[in-house]
Amino acid sequence: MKTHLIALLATCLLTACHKEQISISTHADDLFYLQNKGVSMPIRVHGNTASKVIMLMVHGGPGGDALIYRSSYVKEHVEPVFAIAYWDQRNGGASQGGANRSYDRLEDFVEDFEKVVTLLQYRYGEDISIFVNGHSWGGFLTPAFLQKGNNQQRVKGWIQSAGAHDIPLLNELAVRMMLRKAEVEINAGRHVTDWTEIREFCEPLSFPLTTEQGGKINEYAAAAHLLTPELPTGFISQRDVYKTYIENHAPLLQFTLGYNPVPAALINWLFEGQQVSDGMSGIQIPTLLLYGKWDYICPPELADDIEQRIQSSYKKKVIFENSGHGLMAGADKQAYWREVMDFMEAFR
Amino acid sequence: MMKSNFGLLLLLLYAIALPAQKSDAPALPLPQTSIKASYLGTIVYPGFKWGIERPYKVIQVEKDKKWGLKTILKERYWTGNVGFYHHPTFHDNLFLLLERQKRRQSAGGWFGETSVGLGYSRSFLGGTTYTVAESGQVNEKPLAGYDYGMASLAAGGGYNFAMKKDIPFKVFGKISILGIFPYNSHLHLRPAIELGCIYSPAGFWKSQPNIKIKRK
Repeated sequence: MKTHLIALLATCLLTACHKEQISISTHADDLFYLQNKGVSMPIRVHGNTASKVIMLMVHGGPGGDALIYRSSYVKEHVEPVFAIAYWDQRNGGASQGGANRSYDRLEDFVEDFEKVVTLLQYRYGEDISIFVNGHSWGGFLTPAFLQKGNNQQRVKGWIQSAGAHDIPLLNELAVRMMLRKAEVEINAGRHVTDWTEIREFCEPLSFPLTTEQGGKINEYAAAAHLLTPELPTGFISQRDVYKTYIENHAPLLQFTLGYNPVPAALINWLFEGQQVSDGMSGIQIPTLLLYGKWDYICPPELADDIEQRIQSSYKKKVIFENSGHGLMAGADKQAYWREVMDFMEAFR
Repeated sequence: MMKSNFGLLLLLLYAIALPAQKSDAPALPLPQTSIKASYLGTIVYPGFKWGIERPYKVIQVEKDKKWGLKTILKERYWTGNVGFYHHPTFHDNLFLLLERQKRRQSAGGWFGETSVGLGYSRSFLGGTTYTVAESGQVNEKPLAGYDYGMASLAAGGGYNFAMKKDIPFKVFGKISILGIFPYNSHLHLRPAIELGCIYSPAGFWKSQPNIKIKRK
């Protein structure tokens, strides 16, 4: 029995010894982990690392995953030109750890972010150009990263994709936006029951919202996407998402039903009224602000707030007419990725 | 770590070797200590499970039916298992699992069974793993992974060739859910299928399960 167990352990250890793979090529397909503060986070680098340009995708959530952004369109049109680093944050996606509940603060995420950038430079060279693209919660985390120390100097540009940098402002804008749309849709006789429910919840609210009210607004904002005729396809193609998960060996149950109270607690903390607006005036790097006109979760007026606060010599704002929160995968995906690629080409 | 693994394994073996009582001889062949081997994985990601099952209790139930006497065996086992699965890019996982298993054996050979288990698992991450020091120094961490507790639930059925012919062999299939914890301070669930066979070598670690006969 003992001999068998030793043989099994040896087999396991041998298969667990992974050959280092650092690809400088036009079609890199690398995966490695960063271990920090009780968690190991996978970073997948796909695409043209020979371009020496890497866009680091900072996903939403907290508790989401980065693979969701790796659509067929991105694989066919973006990765052949630039490389994309898909980083699953702590307690999200395929990250793995033990009892790490005490490390779920914004500071821990920012520290991870800094180490991911260090690791990308370590593997692909100090001369690579890194762009950071924060979506939704990633749009809270990314400016928090940029505002710390000399982090701005480590990246070439900031892409803010439907980011949530200021929760109290976001709540206020979302409530106003849903009330405006509710009136239009109820008058037009479309989804009257649903829009009436949203209106009845929103009308009596006063600001700032409570944590519970903020959470409920977030739920209604997601639902409103499906009630908006200008967004016939809703958020994002589920078929495309599952295909990507399977191709990338994602643990499917974890990705689809993986409720975890740790990121849920961080979401509650956010809805207590957090913001990273106050430090925005220190941001000076080239910035691209991309929002969807029909995004009730992170309304497009958030871009105006950032535009007014940052000191960047180059800042561009684009509002996509046919998009909601999932602007990189919806009807405007071609225009979205064109903007991103032009931006990276210009400031690489 | 190795020392504690062996300690756990010894505990499992002790549990399945607990002494039992003798009773009246039943009509059907009694279960014996057996060796199990199975594929344990998803359709895509392979794994295996290998272990020993040892009966500690058998209840023979006899029911009078219109067509005669129907006899079934309700068998209770402790099983000790070693298993492994490979999920590329995610992790490889080696585990030790103690299961309490219930089997309902018909005279015709078919059986159904359920099991619950508890154990220990050690994962090995599916990619090169780095740590980055405060100074920015990057280091590779060999054999990175985590120690987890493991729980399992399984249900399925199979066929026992010993019931009709003198062949000490069973085949079975089960659907399992493996859970590892505290995975990111919570639980990671992994559905799996288990397809395998059970062999009872003559005279191997002879068991004396507690036998009861119930007539209904």
